[in-house]
Amino acid sequence: MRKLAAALIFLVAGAKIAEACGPFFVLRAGLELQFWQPYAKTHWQLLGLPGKSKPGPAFAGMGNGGKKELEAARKTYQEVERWRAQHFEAWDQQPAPLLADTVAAARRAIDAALAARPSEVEAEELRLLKGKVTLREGESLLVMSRTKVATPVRAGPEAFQRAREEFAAFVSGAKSDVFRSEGRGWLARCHYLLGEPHKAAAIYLDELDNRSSTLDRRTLLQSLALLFPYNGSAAGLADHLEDYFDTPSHALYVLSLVTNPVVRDENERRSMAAVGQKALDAIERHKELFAKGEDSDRLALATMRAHLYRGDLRAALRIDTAGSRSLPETRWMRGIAYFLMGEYQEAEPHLLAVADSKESPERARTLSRLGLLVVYQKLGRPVDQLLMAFRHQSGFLDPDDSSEVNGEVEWFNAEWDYDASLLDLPYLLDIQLDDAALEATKQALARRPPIVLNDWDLGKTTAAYLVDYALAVRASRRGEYAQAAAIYEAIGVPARAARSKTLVRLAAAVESAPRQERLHRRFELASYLADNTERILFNDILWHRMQTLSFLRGGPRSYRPAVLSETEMSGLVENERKTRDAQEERWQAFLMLDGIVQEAGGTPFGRRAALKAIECLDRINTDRFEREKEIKEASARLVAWLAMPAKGGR
Amino acid sequence: MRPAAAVIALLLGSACAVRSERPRWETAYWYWQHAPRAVPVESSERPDLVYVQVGTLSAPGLAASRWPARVPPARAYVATWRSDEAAPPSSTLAPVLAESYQHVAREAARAGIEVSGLQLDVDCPTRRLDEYATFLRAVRREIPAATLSITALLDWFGRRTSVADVVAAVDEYVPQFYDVRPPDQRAGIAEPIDLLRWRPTFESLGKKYRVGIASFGRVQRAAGTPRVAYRDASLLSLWGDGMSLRKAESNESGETVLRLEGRGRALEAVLPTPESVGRAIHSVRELGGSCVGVAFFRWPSQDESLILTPDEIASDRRPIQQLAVQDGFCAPRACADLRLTLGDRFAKEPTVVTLVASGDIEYVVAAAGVRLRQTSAREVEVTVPAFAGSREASLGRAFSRSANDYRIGGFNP
Repeated sequence: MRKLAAALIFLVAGAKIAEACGPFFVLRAGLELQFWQPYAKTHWQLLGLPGKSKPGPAFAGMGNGGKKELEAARKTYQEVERWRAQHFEAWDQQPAPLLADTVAAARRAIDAALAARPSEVEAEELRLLKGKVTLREGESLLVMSRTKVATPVRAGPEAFQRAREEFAAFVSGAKSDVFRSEGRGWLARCHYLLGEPHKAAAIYLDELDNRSSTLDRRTLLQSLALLFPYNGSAAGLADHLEDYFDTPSHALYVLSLVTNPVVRDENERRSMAAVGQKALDAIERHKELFAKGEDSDRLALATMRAHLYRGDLRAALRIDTAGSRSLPETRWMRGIAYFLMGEYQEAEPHLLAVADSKESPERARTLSRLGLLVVYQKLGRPVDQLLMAFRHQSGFLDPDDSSEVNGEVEWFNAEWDYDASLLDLPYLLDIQLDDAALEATKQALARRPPIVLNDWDLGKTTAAYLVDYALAVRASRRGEYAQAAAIYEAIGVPARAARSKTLVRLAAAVESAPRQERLHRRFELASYLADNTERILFNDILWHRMQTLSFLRGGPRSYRPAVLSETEMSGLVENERKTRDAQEERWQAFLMLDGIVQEAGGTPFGRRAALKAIECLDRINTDRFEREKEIKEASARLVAWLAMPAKGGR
Repeated sequence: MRPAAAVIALLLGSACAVRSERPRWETAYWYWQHAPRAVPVESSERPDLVYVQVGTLSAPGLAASRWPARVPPARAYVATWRSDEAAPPSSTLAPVLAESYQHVAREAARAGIEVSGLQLDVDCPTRRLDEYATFLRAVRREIPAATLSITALLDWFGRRTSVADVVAAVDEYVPQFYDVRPPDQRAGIAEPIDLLRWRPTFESLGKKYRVGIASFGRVQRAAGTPRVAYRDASLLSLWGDGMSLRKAESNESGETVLRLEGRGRALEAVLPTPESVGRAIHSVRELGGSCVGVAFFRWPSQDESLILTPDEIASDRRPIQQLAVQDGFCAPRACADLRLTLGDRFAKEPTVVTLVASGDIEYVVAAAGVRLRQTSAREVEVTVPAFAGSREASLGRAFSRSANDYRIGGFNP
């Protein structure tokens, strides 16, 4: 009893630890409702942000070289910039200059440099600097305390209107691509500060399209993010939607806002939902945007994601571009859509494509394999299901390197719960699949290269070995001990082979024994089973003490997943019950011994059989086996029977 | 006996006189504008005073000064102007300020609010306090009737400064015990209040004062100069963006200091706590004398998550955990956007709740930073990370064939 209690405590604690610290295992992942979803990409990933920003040329006023007047002008501009970014703090020991003086000095220096016959490029830099000084002065005047951030509400319009005019004039006349690009960036900032976000967005988006933009993509995307901050101001897009549906990248920007809405009150939430629908309607009107190259592919993906986010799975499937059709991410989303609509046959090829593609990040391949386990279950293809489980486990224990493939980050940005051993595998081998399916799997494995797995206890092993071992165990459960012995011998499990042969001998002895001795031979057979718990009928290489955790009934995940029908659920639960009965040597022994007691009656031998039967019942681990009530009743019955006077009197 | 009785009466009378002269303890808040549609967070608290920032102390800033459309509830209001200039304001601004003050007061009056005075928040260099005093006297001449208040930097109260002249020119001053030291010297915002040092310093000035204490937090770069602060950073969005908590500890003021790392960045978050605010309040009360109360920087807006609300400051009671379910307007499926009001938004451990739906949930798209785990066909266990910061956490969107009701099945705060 103590061992039983200890085992029980261990199992429960193990389950709790597994749940709390986990996951130690993956089980029925594809049946969970948070499994099937588009990848949670950030705004920047949707728009194709490169992994790292590349350093661009120095901005106007921040470089080196050239005439001394230019250098002097740069220095004075840097003083203005420094004033804005890093001006007086309480602990500063040096007196800081007045803003007006700093700005005036910068303007004088720029004018002096312009009068000193600079080169054309230097002159452009100086003219751009003029606008920057005006802008920085405006920002400095109205910078907020303690946050050093200028926002539209704090910006007085006059300062920035002047700056806007200066930059607009500069941009229209600039000859240098680098300075023109920078000037456009500052012009966009003026639009932002003047509360003209759509004009700013147009510039930033064009610069994103401009391969020779001097503004790095990260800066541009950060700037875009500032235009429509979290207060739902993106709802203003509704009035300007058509402006954005001129190029794929512009449309993509709008869709990225729609699929990542963050709002603060109910009005904003409703308006963002309306904007989302309008954006998708606009996409329908501008199907030509899907035929323009790489940006079109990203737009297609974003549109699919938007439809999935709005629950319109069929609409997600209608999005189709030649370029994106074969992308793993596209196929994953198609797989999701078909799966969630219950069209498992259609889901299969897409998930297989993701699982097989080296272009898919490792996690995407993992998810596809796990998803296919459910697809095959729903399609009634147990052999494919088991083969996929082997394939997954082989991949898990010996994964490809990385969270990055071809420089692309993983698509899956949420908590990753699937980095653990697949508990579906022993469940399929021992509980779910029938013998015919295992035999068919054996044949299928024989036709392909070995699938090698690393087992915690066995070390390196193969899928074929595990299937054979499972078949041998099942043969034992059917009482076909000779077959079991043959398989164990063939795969090199001498201990089990020896026990199976012993059982062959004991079973044969029962058959051949004279009638008056048959009960005694059966007693020997039953005792042998009872004295070899988990060494004959239990598959000891599969479970690693985790079998109970896998049960749909009685395990910690004891619920019907929505994807499983009641019939499917009851079928699996029935299999679990059958397995629990069949694998429990002491229960099987009890059944035999109970029969012996019935036949032997109140004889000393019968009483001996009853005592043995009671011993078997007492030692059954009901945490895994259940049937507490039957065991208790049977035990009570036998105890009561033993208490009756013995046959023949005494 | 008579002389004794007379002495006793005198002493009692003196005691009563002292008691009646001791100023009433008041609670004040600053309310700072930072966004065009900023809405002050709702609260059952009604402080004695709110200093409302209406503009900046410069010519264009004064011209643009406005009374905000919405302000927190309070018993009294003071209009505040802020200056970032590294210099005392020019005395020529005094009449402009006076005009702006009248304008702002009229705007406030139209909203049914009486503005009782003005406050100037000027980080004047200590060596130029005499000029600041001159400016303040000019303001006093322009606006003799209004209460004139100023904020004060602790650096002003050193030896041989002109702080006494400055204080003499005003009706009250508010020394600020936060952001006193450079961030690379110390991870924190609130400055501990050393009673032995400050009580005699402030009492020697003989003027009523309040003490400014911090109820706000900040996320900033963990290294580098300057320590860039991210005003709009939300801890929950940082967790969702792949940042992980490396370290959590308390500083000498009782604030929580978090170190976050991830995606090649290292950030530091300083969070106010009931303990840090409580310690500061206790210290301020101990100052006694001319101290009339505490002023919190500041009353948060609804979209700010790193500032303690007045309710959180006033009471140990935490909000009740509640689930808000809103239609996501999907078609053809039904979808619901789920939001959870957190009981303790700075909890040191994750918050785990079970959501129960009235019908099967088909799938969910989890919000960033939140973890979902299905526990039955109609139940989802949701884990919100520790130190979420936000008062409400978006949990994600749940999809079903037809609309479901959702409720909290059980929670583990």
